[in-house]
Amino acid sequence: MLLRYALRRLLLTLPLLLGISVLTFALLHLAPGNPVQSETAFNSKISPDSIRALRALYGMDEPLVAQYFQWLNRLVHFDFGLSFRDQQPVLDKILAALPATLLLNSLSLSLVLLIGIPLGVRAATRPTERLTRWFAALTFVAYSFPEFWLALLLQIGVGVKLGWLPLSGYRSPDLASATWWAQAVDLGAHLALPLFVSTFGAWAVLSRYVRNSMLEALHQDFIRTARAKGLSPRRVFWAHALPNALLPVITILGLSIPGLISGSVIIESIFAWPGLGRLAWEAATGYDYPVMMGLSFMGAVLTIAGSLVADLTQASLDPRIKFE
Amino acid sequence: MSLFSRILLASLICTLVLSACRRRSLDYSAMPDAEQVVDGGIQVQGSGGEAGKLVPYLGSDSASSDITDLVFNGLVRFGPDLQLEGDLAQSWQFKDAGKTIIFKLKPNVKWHDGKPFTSADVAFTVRSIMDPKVASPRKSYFDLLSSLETPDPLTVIARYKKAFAPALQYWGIGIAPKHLLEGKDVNTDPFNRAPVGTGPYVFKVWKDKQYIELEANSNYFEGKVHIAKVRIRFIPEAATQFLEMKTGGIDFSRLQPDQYLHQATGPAFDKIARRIRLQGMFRYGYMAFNLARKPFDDKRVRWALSYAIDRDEIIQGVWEGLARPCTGPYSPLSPFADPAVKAVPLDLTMSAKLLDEAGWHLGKDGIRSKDGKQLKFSLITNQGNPAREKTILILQQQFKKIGVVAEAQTIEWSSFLSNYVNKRNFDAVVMEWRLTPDPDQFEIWHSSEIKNNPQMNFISYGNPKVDTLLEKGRLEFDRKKQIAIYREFHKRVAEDQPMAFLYAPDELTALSLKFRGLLETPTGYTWYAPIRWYIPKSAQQAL
Repeated sequence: MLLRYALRRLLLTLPLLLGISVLTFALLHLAPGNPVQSETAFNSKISPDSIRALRALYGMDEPLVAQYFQWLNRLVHFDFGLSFRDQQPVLDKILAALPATLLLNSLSLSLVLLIGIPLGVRAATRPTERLTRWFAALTFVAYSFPEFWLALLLQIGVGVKLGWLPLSGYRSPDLASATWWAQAVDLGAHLALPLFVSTFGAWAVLSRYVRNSMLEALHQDFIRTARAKGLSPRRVFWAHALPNALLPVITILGLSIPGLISGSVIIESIFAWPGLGRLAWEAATGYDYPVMMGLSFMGAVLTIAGSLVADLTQASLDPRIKFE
Repeated sequence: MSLFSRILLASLICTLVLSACRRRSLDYSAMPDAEQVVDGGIQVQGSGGEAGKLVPYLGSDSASSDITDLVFNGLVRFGPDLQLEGDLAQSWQFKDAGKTIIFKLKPNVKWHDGKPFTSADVAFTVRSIMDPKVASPRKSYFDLLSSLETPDPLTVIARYKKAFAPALQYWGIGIAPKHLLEGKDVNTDPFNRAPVGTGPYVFKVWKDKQYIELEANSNYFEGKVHIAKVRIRFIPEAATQFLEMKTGGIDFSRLQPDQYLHQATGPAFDKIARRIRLQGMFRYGYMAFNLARKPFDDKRVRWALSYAIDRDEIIQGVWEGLARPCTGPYSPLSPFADPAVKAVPLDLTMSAKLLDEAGWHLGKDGIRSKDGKQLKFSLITNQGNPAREKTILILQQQFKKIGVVAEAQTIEWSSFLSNYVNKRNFDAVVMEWRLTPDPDQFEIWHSSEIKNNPQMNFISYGNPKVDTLLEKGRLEFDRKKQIAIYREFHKRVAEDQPMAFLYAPDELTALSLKFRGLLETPTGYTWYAPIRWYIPKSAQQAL
């Protein structure tokens, strides 16, 4: 049953991906400007010959529909094409930028879970405690903080004034031959500020979710039954309330899979973090269509896969859900 | 102990641990002046974008040319006096009234891989640029070339279809090695990621989105390269670059006027870097009129609007005083600007008089009109350039005083190009021109370019006398006569006032104090950096 359901979902995915790719392709080309224009703007030394050669290199001398089918044809062969900017394979560029983003975002997501879930649970179970209220206020403030401003404040404060942490970058080039320990410390020092900024406030949404679903779970009939049959409060909490309250978290987790690798444009740009967010930003501003298409396609695949995985996991954990 | 005080204690401990590993703060100001010329050290630059293609004639972005400038040489280059001098060329001669250039190349120049550099490499580079399959934005450089001969390994004879004075500067393009690129697809060859040149620095490593590192060429033909390494860090955010400059993380930084005056200051900064203010010679800002539209086809209206502009207010308000009024199509500091042409002064009486003459009379509502039409126009600029965005707002206020309504609007760059400039669909724009040391401005001002070039003569300017001067200038090889021709051109264009010439901003930079051997010229410090600059021993330790 589960297998059939999964297969059906997968089949439905195909037209969805095709639609997304057509839409992205159309949007990219509908936007004013194009790569040749952005490369040659207000340059008096550009001759028509140069423009012709650039258009040919970028495949722009073909009709738009033909360009789309060429892209699709390459995609079927797992080839995302070459970046306009440096003629490197798009896939190589994505893979090169992946580790930095994955590292930052997986750490950030773990921290968000580590902070957000206990916070939400505690807010639901001890709503009047001083610490809970204090954290609720902090969460609210943190959530309202603009990322870029916080990043700049930290750079000025911790980086420039105090001189504790490096301002930007990923790893110090001078340590390429140092011990793994020194390299790890160096990476950690570079990671600290971007990690703080990307985590700060991100737990807010999660903790609200957890709090609400915990409150809901605590008012369910089966909790009252569990209490009535004399289970210890500890067992009521761990065995009955918490698992039920965390079910929606699985959906949120599934949907944050694409976020894991999509990278934050703002954080990665400010901290010169060599990740996918920067790749996307540079591709968007430089009309690098193949990179844009590659990234958005990958994002679409992961979003669909994430929601599928979340649905399947939830179904296998929650006996109430039946597959049709 | 409550949870709250436990958190406090934990953060206190963290703070202490962190303070223990706090960086030593830099101080280059105490270095003795007369330290010996030594080798070693590293020069770190910041670059907003990442380099693209490193075949020297493929890239068109400054991130790529930052690297190719250090890895490759051209045959000629602009020297400190802004005149062309030999780079890979020992000497050159013009023959046939300028239709032929004969280059003698420097002997004993080697590529970074040890192979000798010869005239065959020059011929290969030109052929490759002109190859229709090669996507080089520089094909116009050699459009007029009719043949290229290499009678021996150290001679290059370039024959042109007609004499063309600006042609020589194009030989400044980096020469690429034939033995590594011939028969390859230059557009996509891995050479673009690992170039081999003749230049002072040898390409070492490229870490995606992080940095490119170059190493001193121990065999450089011009002399010893002192600074052992150059690292170009890719830092997209300008604010981050500036903060890196403040902590010595990079050694150069372009400065905005407010950074120059208020942020790149203080004792901590003075220990790390010097601020450099150079009077801009190649850049000027303007408000251009669409001459194909009414009422801007009327010279009196253009002059009236120009007289209504208080240039000092713009220079104070936008540039904090770090600019000068511009007089015509060259920065007033350029040798080609006619010093007799003065900036248009603020003169509201004159402005009103000219508008009255042109038939635009002040109405009861305070707005000038003619034949029932109000003097109203749109004044646009591109988004993302705060200086221009402020300028159009100041201009709007200033025009109000003479009863002219300018509707200021900021438009996203690519839409600004495709929907307004390229289609000639605008009344007036605020923009800047950035010129090269060569005076030729044919594409911007010659009437034949109105049709040819969508973005150059986009204001539809045409004046037969100016056309003649531009044509004459392209045929003149003598510097003195060139100056005379282009000063005349400067004066004539200023008389037509096809645009209100506004300001020539100063070039502001911060440069680390660790460098020695700087050559100070009116145009900057960077000349011959690779062979002159060095870093004293006391400043060589890594951070």
